[in-house]
Amino acid sequence: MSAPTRRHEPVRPAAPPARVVVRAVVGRIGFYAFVAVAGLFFAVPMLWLVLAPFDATPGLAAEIPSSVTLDNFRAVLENPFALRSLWNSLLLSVITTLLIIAAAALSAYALSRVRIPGRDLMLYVLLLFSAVVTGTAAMVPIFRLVFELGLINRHVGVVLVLAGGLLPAGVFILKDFMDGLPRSYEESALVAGASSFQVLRDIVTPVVRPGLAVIGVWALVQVWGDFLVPFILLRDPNLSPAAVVMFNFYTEGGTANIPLLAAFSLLYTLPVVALYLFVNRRYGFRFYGGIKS
Amino acid sequence: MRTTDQAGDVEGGEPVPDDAEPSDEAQDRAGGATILGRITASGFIAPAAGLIGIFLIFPALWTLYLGLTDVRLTGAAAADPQFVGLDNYTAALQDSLFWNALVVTLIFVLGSAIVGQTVLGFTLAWVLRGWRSRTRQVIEVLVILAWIMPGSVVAFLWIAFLDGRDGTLNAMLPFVTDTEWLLENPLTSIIVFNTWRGTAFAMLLFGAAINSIPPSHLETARLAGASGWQQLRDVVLPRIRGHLLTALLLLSMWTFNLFTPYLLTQGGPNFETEILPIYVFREAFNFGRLGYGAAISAIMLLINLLIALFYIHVLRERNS
Amino acid sequence: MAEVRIEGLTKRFPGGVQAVDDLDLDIEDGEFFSLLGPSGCGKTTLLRSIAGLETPTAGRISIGEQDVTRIPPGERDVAMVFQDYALYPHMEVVDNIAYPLKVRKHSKSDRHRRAGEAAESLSLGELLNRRPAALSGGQQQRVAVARAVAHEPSVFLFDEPLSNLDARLRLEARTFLKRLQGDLGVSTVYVTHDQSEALALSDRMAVMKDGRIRQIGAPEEVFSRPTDLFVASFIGSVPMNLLASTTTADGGLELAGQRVPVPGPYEGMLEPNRSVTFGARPEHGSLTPPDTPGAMTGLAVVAELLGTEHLVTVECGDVMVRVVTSDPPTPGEPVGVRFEEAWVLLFDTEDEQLIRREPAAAGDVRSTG
Repeated sequence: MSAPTRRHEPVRPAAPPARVVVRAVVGRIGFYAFVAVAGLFFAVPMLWLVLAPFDATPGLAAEIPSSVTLDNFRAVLENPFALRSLWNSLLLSVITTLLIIAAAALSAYALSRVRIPGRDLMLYVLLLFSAVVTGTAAMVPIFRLVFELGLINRHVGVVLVLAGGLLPAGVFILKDFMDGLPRSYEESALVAGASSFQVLRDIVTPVVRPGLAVIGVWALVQVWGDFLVPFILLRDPNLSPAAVVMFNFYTEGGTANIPLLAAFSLLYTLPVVALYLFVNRRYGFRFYGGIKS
Repeated sequence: MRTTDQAGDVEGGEPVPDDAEPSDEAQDRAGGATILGRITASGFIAPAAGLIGIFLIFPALWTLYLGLTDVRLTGAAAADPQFVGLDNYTAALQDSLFWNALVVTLIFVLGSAIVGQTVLGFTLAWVLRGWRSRTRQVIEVLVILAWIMPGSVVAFLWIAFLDGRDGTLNAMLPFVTDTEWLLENPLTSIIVFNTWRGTAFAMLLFGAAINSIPPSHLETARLAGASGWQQLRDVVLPRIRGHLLTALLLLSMWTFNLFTPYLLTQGGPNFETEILPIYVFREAFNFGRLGYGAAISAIMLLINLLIALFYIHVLRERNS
Repeated sequence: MAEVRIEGLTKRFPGGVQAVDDLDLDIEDGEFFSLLGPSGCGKTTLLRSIAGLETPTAGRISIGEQDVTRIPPGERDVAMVFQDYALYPHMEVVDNIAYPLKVRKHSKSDRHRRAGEAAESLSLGELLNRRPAALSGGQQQRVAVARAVAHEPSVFLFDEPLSNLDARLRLEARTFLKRLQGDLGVSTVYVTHDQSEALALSDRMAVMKDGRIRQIGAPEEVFSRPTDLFVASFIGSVPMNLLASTTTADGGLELAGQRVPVPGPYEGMLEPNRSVTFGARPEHGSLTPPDTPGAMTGLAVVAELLGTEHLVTVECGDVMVRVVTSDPPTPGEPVGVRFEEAWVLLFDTEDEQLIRREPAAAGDVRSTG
C-alpha cells in the first residue's frame, strides 16, 4: 500500500439521521430537567442556613437579607448554653473518635492477620446489629445499664455507649484497609529485625493512615450529630451537646429565638461541612471497599 | 503443540495446577504466627471486643429480659422490678397505638428508604455517571451535606422550610399559600424529609457499583445497539444486584430504627408520625414504663431480624 | 558471609499441603544458588523458611555455624528482596534503604552513609529523596536490592525479584544482579520460575518439583544433561524434543514409526523392546535431505523466526519434532531430521530417569545434599 496522498478538502462525515438527532436532543432536555429539579430539591431547604444567620431580621423564610449583620452571633455568645454545648460536642466527639480509632485499629489489624473461623460473617452480623441497636432498639437497656454503672449525667457514659455502637463499622472498614496491606511489608520488616510493635508503629500505622482518617472523620461526624444517646443519658443542660441544645432551642415554650437559632445552627454545622469539604478535596469522598454483598 | 505429547505420561508435560501453591489460608496462618502471636492478637482485639460486648451485645440481650418485667423509670418498680411474664407483650398487642406505630413505621420505611432513597439515589448515580462538570460536583456535595449535617439542624431547616406562614416551600409554590405541611401531611412530610436526608448513601453506593462495571461490558452492549434503558436492564442491574440488595437491607434497617423524625414532629400530630422508635421513647421515658418499652424494643429487634433474614434469603436465592 | 545448610526440611501447611518434603541442601559460601521450579513446587516456602518467615514442620536450617531453625527472622542476619519489593510507600528511598539499619539501632549518620553508598552502587544516587510511587519499576527493584545490600547480611534471599519487570528491563537487571553478587561475594539464594534466569545467573541451581529437588548442578550440566524427564521438559527456552520410542532387536530405535540408530554413547547398552524416551534439544538438530540414512523423515510444517535462526517444526507421522536451523525449508517440503548423537539423551519411560551412559560422567550422579 502506498502512502496516502495529501487531500485538498477537509473530510466531512455524513449528517446523522434525523431520529438520532431528535433522540439526542430529547435526552439532553430530560437530563437537564432532572438535574435542575434534583439540585433545587437538595439546595433550597439549605438556603435558610446560609442566609438567615446574617439577616438583621431573620424569619423562617429563606430570603436575601435586607441588611447584613453579624449581631445574630452575639446572641450565641450571650446564651448560657450555646457555646458550652459546642464545647461539649467537641469533647464528646474527639474523645469518642480517638477511642474508636485506637480500638478499631488494633482489633482490625489482629483480625486481618490472625485467622479466626467465621470471622468475616461475624463482622458482617455485628455491623448489621450495630446499625439496629445504636439507633433506638436498645435505648431502654442502654439507659438501665448506664444507670446501674452510675454514669447517668456523665460524659463518659455517652462516650462508651457511642464507641460500642460505632466500633463494628469502624473495625469493618479498617479491616478492609489492613487486608489490602501487602504482607511482604511486614515480613520485610521482620527480616530486618523489627518487633511486632515496631512493625505496627513504623509500617502498618503510616500505611493505613488514610483508613484511620476515614473512620476518624466518619466517627467525628456521627458523634457530633448524635441526638438520642445524650438526650437520654444526660440530664444537666450544662453537659448537653449542641444536638440536644439545638432541639431545646426550637421546642421549648414561647416563641423561638430565630436570630439565636440561625447563628447557632450555622456554628454547629460549619465544622462538619468544613471537615467534609477538606476530606473531599484531599482524598475524594467515596466508599472504601467493604460494602458489597 | 508440545513435542512432549508423544512421550506418554511425561510428568513435566502436564500443567501444574496453580492451586498447588500453599493456599492463602495456609499462608495466612503460618505467616500470622510469625507476624503476630495469638496472645498479642487477643490483646489487640480485647478493647474493641469489650466495648462492643458491654455496650452493644449485652443491652440487646438484656432488653429481652427487661421486657418481661415491670421496671419503671422512677419509683418502687425502678429499684425492685417484678417479673410479669408476657404481660407487656399482651398489653402491646392490645394497644391500638402500637399497631398504629407499626403501620406508620412500615409506610415510612417503604416510602423513604425503599422507594425514595433507593430510587433517587440510583437515578442520581446513573444520570451523573461519567459526567465531569462543576454541576455534578455541586449536586453531589449538596446530597452528601444533607446526609452529614447534624440531625437537629436539618430538622429545624425542614420545620422552617415547611412552615405554613413563612416557609420557603409555600413561597415557591404559586397556587397554595398557607398549607401547614407538618400538620396537614405529616407522614408525607417526614417521608420526603428522610428521602432528602438519606439519599447520599444510596447514591454513593450505586455510584461505586456502576463504576466497578468494566467499560467494555457497556461498550459491547452499545455496539450491539442496546439503548440506555437496555444497557441498564441487561448489563448494569444484573451486575449490581448484590449492591442493590445490600443497600435495601441497610437502608430498611436504618430507617426502621431512625429517631430523627422525632426532631421534626415528636410523633404528632395525633400520633400520625409516631414511628416505633418514638413510641418506645414515649412509653419508656415520658410515661416511665421501661419494662413495656423494652418489650417493644424486643419486638423491633425481632422485626429487624426478619428483615435481615428476608434479604439474606433473597440474596442466596439469586446467587444460586 | 556464610553457607546455608538444610537438613531433612519438611513444611506441611495446615490443611495438608506438603510444600517441602524432607529436603537436604547445602549452599556454599559466596555461591549464587537458584531454586527453580513451577509454581507450587515449594521453592518459595523453602526460601521463606530460610528467612524465618515459615516455621518448618521438621528438619534443621543452619546459616554459617549457627542452627537458626528456631531463631526469629530478624536475628538470622539475612536480607530478603520480595517479589513486590515491599518498599514502604510512606518513606523516602533513603529511609527505605536504611530501615533495616534503623531497626538495628545504627546511628543516623551511619545509616545515611551506608544507604547512600548502597544507592550509589545501584545508580540510585539521584533518587534518594523520592517516594517509591515516583519511581519506575526498574528503579523500585533496585531500591529493594539496595536495601538488602546496605544491610550487609551474610545471606541474600531473592524471591522472584525480576518477575514484575518487563522483558527488556529484566535482562538489564539480571546482568547487574549477577555483577553485584560477584562483587559482594555474599551467598545468595534466588527463587525463580524462569529457567532462563536461573541458567543465566546461577553458580549452581536446583530444580524442584512437589517439594523435592529433582536435580542440583551447574547450569550447563542441568541444561545439557537433565537427569529426569521433568527437568528435561522444564529447562530450555525452546522445549526439548521428548519422543516416545522403543529399542529394536537389531540395536536401533523405533521412533515415530521410523528406525534410527541408537546414539553412539548408548550403543550396546540397551536390551531390545525397551520403552525409552528420546530427548534432544532443537539446537542440536539439523535438517537433511529426506530419506537420509539415520535421519527421521517428515514434512516441514511451520518455520518460526527466532532472530538469527528459525525454529522448524517437522511432522514425522503423528509426532512433532523441532529443530533450530538457519536455512528453513518451505512449509510442506519433505525433510530429514538428525540430532548430534553426543547430545542425545535417552530416558527410561517407566521411571522417567536418564539412562546412564557408560562410562558414567561425573555430572550424571544425582546430587544429594
